[in-house]
Amino acid sequence: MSGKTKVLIIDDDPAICESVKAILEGNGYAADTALSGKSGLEKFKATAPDIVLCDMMMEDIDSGIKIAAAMRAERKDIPLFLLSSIGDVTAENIGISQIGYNGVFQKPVDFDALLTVLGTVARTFLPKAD
Amino acid sequence: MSESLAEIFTRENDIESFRKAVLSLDGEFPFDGPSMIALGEAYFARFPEKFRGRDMEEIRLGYAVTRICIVESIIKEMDRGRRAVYREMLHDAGRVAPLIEALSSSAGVGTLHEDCRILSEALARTKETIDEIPKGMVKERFIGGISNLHNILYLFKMTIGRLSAG
Repeated sequence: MSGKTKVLIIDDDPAICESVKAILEGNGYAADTALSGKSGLEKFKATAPDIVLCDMMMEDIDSGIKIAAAMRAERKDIPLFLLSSIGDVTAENIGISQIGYNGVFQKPVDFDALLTVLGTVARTFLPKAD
Repeated sequence: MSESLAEIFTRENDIESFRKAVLSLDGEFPFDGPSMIALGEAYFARFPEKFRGRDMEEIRLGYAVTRICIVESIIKEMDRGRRAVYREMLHDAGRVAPLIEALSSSAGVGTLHEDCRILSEALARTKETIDEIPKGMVKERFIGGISNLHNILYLFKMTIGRLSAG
């Protein structure tokens, strides 16, 4: 785990959590998962991830908005990315930065793009690993 | 004309019975936009959507229903001898590496590349159909369903890349 960028994946679908975790770990990240907004916030506080990827609709249809607000209150600079299955609706009706996210990835996720963004975030914004 | 997926879902009482009934069709079922919408409406008739306090198990069941149908639809184009392997792989990200490593030994990496291309193209066609569904919760369940299959094919490609690199 030491030296690797830590990514927390929050999604109500365990299959999505498992597959995203496997892809990230296969590309050199340390990944952890949570299956609800509530458990995601608990893991966020307990494990201090470097980056968070979060679904929008979980126990509530707008869970992703509440999670972003709670995480920003704890760590205002945490890189937060939304994994959205309602991307078109989100893009049209919600300002991503207004709800606390640095960016949005529409499901199905383009992992080449996501890994490029995560790599840039890790190199640019996070403390250098040993 | 086979029974529709919506009719099967309405008739069957649980996900395992639904899965067995769909598998028995061997991929031969209508799976166009109206068929997907009808299946989604049958699902929401049984499990109505809620804004607050959503039932996570019901939501996950929705993803499972769509995945069963999508997987059966896309693997019907595969070599019959390898369908069971790809069915297992597409339902379990944790099984990708061991299944593909074993298949590589028996079928060769070249076959894996070709199989991956066929599956990717079939999944892309299914995604185009889902894209035509009007925005709403039926579409959300299908997007959730296909997303994990897309992720698993990415893992499949990563595994092939690793095997090709020796």
